[in-house]
Amino acid sequence: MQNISIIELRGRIDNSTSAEIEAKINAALDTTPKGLILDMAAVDFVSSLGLRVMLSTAKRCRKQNTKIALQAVIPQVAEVFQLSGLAAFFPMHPNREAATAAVA
Amino acid sequence: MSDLAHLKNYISELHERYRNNHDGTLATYIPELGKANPDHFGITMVTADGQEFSVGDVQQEFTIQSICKPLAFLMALERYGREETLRHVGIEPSGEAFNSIQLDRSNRPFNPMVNAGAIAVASLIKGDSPESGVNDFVKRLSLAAGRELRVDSSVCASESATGNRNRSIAYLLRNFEVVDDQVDHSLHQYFSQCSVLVNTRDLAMIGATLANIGENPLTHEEVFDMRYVKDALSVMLTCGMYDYAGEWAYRVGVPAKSGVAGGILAVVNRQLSIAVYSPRLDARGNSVRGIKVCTDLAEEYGLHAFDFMNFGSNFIKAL
Repeated sequence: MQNISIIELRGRIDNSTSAEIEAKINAALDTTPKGLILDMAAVDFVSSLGLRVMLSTAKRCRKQNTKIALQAVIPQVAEVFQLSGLAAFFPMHPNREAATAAVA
Repeated sequence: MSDLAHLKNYISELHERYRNNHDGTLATYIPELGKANPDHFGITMVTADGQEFSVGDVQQEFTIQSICKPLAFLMALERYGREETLRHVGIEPSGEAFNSIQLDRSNRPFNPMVNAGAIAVASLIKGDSPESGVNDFVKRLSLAAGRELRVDSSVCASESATGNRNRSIAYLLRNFEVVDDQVDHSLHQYFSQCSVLVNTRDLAMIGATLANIGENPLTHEEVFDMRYVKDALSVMLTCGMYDYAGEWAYRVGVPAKSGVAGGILAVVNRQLSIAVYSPRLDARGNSVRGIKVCTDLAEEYGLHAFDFMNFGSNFIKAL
């Protein structure tokens, strides 16, 4: 069992990228890590479709007891999570240290 | 909606994605419609606070056709209220084609979106003279669009000359006393309503007026009575896409109305409207590219009424 998986996401999480991102995250979750950190620093947009992928990731994490943490979410993207009413699924942390401490 | 640039980019992407889709054929049962350029393709989105994003042939005019129907229904409700209006037309999806000759058990047309229902509604709002009834209708649409609109007289003449099926529907309605004995006047109102010329910017602004509960977001004119905007959007959601209405509600999930000239108007309550013009139609009479654009937009932005992003009502949260 791997300890913590870290995935750096970039650009948009939307129709054009979500399938690839989903596959990448699922491959990481297949190893049932203790924690999953999604580094969001370079993500500038999440569409509703992207949010759906994120939500199913969060639900899968909950099911297999992998702790999830979002790292360095920019304010515009954080707002999408807040407005969706689903922020509780996505604990957000300012940096790698805090994210790692949260999922360790 | 802090960063609307994404919307603009995405609309351009969709235009590019479907520009070379040449599926479908022009409507030809009204001969004038067969003269459209099948390659025309325009998309306009207007937010409920009046911001516009347009791409493609958005200045190209086309006749509004059946997209006039929910607007005429709204005007009938304003004038007669729900009870009286619904004595003349139902609100039940028929599952039949737009031109079906069929009435419900009370001998009313099934809903205001099929031709029979739209003719019943046209009869209600036709006014004292053929001129005044049409003028009132065009004036209201102009206020919603924020631009002076007009009837295309050659399309209107073409509709009338080939409109024997609609004429027979009107006389059937006369038989059941759904419409009064001024059958020609009612048909003139109906054909004229269908022949109003719009472009996607006009349509989207009309839709934004609905999304903005009846007020044009740019001119701030109160165009439609807010009590009945919901009624119009409801029948658009359940009956707006001809016999594709159920599938549309399932897949796209926003109130919409299509017209056989190739327009589609979709409205997201309190948020925005989308108008697409592309004259090639599928077998049910809906714009092929229009459906694709709306479907993708709904998916990407969670526009479906029951998308997990949508709360249904914010009111409960406010309690």
